[in-house]
Amino acid sequence: MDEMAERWADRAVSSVFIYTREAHPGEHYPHHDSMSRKREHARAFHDLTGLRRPLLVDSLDGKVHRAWGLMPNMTWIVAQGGLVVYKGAWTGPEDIEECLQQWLKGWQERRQRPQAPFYTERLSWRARDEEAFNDGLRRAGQRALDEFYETLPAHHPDRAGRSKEKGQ
Amino acid sequence: MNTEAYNYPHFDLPGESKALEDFPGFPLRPGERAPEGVLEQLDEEELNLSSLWKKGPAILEFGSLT
Repeated sequence: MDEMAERWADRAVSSVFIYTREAHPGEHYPHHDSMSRKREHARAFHDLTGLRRPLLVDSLDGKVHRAWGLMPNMTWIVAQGGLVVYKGAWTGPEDIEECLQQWLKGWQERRQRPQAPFYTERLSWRARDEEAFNDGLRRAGQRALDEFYETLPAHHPDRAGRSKEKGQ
Repeated sequence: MNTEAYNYPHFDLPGESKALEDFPGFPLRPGERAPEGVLEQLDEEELNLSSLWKKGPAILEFGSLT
């Protein structure tokens, strides 16, 4: 996402990361019980990931996160002036860039030839890296890993393997 | 949802799955006006969300360390 943000920065596209609640709290990074803990985790995230976009921290009760739909890693695009143009349940950089490109093309051409925006919905793809995801859970603490697979056993690598063998 | 419920100490469903299921029907969608909000920068200065889309489009990614 950082690379993509940098490609578009000279076109006046601002790109930010909004820090929410912990999706998978664990021993090392528990849930936020104060704003100072939330800030502390946000700074740790910034340092650990080397994030190159501005990091913005939401309020302790998640006012902004709630107003935008509560998904743990969603992405939205807002056009200049405040019109929402993209709603993504997860973050897929290719899909986001495609939308941005398409939107800006129309935005620029709208003075040369008449055109109007229209509403659309679709499903898209994002890369899934199970190992990186599990590493992230382990970073939060063993508890985060255990709770994830206890709650969603169908996602467990062993179980997924068995299902394939059975041809399910 | 109060502050404690929002910041759940343990990951479990159905609370989480409900947000996932409801997202397509969540009233904010393309074509709507983006809601205003106040966020804090790392230096603890406040920033109005709408300042991000004043001069051009804004990409907002949400997430956490975990």
